[in-house]
Amino acid sequence: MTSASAAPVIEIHELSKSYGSVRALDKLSLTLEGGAVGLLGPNGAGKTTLIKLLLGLLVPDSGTASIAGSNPATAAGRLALRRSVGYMPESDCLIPGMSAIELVATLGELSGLSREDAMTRAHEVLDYVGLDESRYRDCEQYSTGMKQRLKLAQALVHDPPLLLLDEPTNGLDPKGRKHMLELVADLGTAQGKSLLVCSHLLPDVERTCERVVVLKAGHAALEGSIADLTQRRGRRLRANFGGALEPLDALLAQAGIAVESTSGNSRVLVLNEAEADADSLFALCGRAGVRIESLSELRSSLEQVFLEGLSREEPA
Amino acid sequence: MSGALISSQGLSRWYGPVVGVNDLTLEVEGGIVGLLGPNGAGKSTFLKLVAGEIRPSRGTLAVLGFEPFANREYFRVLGFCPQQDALYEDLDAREFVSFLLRLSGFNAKEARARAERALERTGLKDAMLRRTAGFSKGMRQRTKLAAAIAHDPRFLIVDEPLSGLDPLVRSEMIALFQELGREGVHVLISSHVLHEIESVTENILLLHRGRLLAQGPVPEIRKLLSRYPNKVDIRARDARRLARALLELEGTSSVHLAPEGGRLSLETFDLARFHAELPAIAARERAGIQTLESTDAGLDAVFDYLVG
Amino acid sequence: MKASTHTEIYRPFVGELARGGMRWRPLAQSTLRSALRKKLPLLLFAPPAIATVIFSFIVYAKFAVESGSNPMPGAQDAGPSPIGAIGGMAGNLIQVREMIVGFHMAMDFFALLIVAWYGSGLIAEDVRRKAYLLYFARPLTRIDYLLGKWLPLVLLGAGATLLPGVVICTVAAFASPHWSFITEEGDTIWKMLLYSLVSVCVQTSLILAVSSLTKRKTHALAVALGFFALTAGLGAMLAGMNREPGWNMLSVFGCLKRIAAGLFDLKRLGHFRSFEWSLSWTWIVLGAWVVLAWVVLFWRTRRLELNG
Repeated sequence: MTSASAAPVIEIHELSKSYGSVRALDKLSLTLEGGAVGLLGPNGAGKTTLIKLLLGLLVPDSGTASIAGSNPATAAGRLALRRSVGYMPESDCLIPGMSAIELVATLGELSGLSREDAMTRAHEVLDYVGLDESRYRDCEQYSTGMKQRLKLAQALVHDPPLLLLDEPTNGLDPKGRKHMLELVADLGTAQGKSLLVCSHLLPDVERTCERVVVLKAGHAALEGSIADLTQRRGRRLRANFGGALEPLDALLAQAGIAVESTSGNSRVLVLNEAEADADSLFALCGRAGVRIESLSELRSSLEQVFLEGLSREEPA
Repeated sequence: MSGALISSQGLSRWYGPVVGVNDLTLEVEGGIVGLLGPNGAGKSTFLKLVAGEIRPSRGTLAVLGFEPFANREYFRVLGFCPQQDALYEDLDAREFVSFLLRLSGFNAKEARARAERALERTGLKDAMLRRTAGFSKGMRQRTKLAAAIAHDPRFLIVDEPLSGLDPLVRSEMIALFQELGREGVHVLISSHVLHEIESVTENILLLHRGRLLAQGPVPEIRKLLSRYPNKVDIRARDARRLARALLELEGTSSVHLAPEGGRLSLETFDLARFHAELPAIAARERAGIQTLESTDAGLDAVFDYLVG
Repeated sequence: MKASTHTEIYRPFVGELARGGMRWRPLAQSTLRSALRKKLPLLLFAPPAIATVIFSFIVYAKFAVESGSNPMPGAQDAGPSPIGAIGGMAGNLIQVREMIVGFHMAMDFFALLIVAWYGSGLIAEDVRRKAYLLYFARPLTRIDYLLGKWLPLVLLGAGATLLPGVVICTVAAFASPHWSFITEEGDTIWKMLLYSLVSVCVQTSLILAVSSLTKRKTHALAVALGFFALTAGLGAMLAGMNREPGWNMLSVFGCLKRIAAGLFDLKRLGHFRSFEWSLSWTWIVLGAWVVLAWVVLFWRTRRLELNG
């Protein structure tokens, strides 16, 4: 899909944009290559402005940007980049008086497809998102789940390399959410698209994205891969025990396994460097008649990463 | 029957031919309860019935001992935070909440004091004097929430309370619900976001097609779904050897080895036995177990199994 | 035979995306398609259609009777017409001209209904349903958007004035002996076309501007029709009260009638007994309305583009 030497899809350097006295974007620098990136941040941190910039609706005040190879500083560049970007808005939006297939086909034509191509593509993307017979019905009557899928379909019709998804699971029930997240994850991996997923739901972001950017007051407070940011801190394990727990603490102390914290029948344990696994812990519990009901590596959650990113001091 | 938060018998409500809730018979003890269900399951109808906005077509419903419909006594102890936005744009947040309190019968001074306290609790201390017209979605949510708790209700009903909130505020509001629960306030939270319900409470009410599908703490419900074997994920250095040993364990119905190695997924009908015997097996096989996790014990999996 | 499966649902697009060209064209086509989808409003075209047929017949009959020959379609008399009949013919042509102009004045009203009906929702409904979020994410400038909305509306409006006018003129041309309609009254044809264009452009611009200022089709419709009625009424009233006919320039239709009177050299038209106010000023007033309408349109479209 993308060659190793392909330019990054988004390359923003020291970009600023102000509205009157409000600095919406403040020397923002951001690079996005393939795959899915979660865009997080409190309300008012500049996400909306960044999205408008990525859609070629704004002229930056200063700094440079290259979005899907186009430069938003020029009018022609702004028009051109919209050919390479697909946008799934957060708000409830549709074109009145049309069925889904017409809506997607018309928007495809507006993106530059020929009428026949647009029709074919419209059917393909509607297949992909799972809107079957209902695509011929007036979309004003659609359920929330169908409307969300329609929004995704119209963002895909012109097969853009970059997709902006704003709260893709908004208003969806658990089944709908699951289906949508599967689609988004598929787009970022198997289909090789570059995605920017804006969401307040951190588990959604974890499910679909490999990297995150945390925006704060118009610049990127934190950036990196989720795996790196939520890295294991040392050899810490969280263990949930079952059964009689009284002998456990004594045994753990005896075996030299440090207990960092306790909460009910849950313990955070710190294993020695030499220990590659928890076999000895199992042996210990076996002898004591204590059950181990779950054992997992202690990673910081994305929520902690987010909070940390927000409270970080700015580099001078 | 006595002391239960919600108690209904044959509760039904329909709109012409469309059924909202169909013959619901349930008893909810109290505390913090999550109300879940796919779209069209009857959640909003149930909420409206419990909040006293509509009358049942048939059957009985008692909340805190009251019959909810148009019951002024009941409304005094009920706090309702609906999903829709219904703020008076010209008022500032404090005025709005005070106004609602005065409608409930508080005098001006007490209304203002309560409004300020409630708005502080929902994190709008700095913004309470601003007009709601300029509020973001998250701030509007919090204003509604403040209005619902300002009169110290005994029972709080919230419909999708966390929509539009960024993760920071989300966790603050979840903490608020937990705090209210500790204070003895009953809370009924309706939401589609399962992991948030999970972070607040274990007790759920699951509706589907207007009927009650399940009720109670999630782990207990899981145990009742005995026809679904329990799935466990294990990461181990020598997964294959461990797999062989686990296959011999009574109750194991399948073991699946991940193609990349180092991981196995197990299904067993006897989770208790599995937990009991695993330490001995681990010690014997020395397969290098690193992590162990039940993958279908949570609300997500339970919801899937029940709703399909 | 080699086996293969094609289970991938998502296929990348291997074609080319067009650049430049008439970007507004797909929008205009889809706007037209959507407009014509509902069958009931097409009844609005019935009165102009019926009137066209009737008028064509009358025009045809007039010429046919005068020339004294059998009213057979396409039949032309060879040879010079009798001298006595020339005077009668000339009078006939003038009568036909007056009939055509009168016809247009009447059709203006139906044109307004059609333009108002189809046009009031064009931008208002886009705002209400937030369709602009989808449009402006495409390579579409403000001008493209406006052209895509305005041109179909012009086409629909022209269907009520321009097209019938062309039909009647064609009939007149064929029916008149020796194509005298074209040779003697050829001016009428282009004047009629010009008038229709002006009338349609003014009406469509104003209606579209109103549509861009409201959020619902019904509001826009009410405001648009109300605007035309109000200005007409006000103009007439002030002109009558102050005995100053210039006040009639307040009314859009008043202006249009003045222009028609000027173009066709008429002293009386519709309910106007005389046209004593300045023609040039009328053009200026109409021009100002159109410019104002387009300024509003650009301003509102800019807001939609940026606030999306």
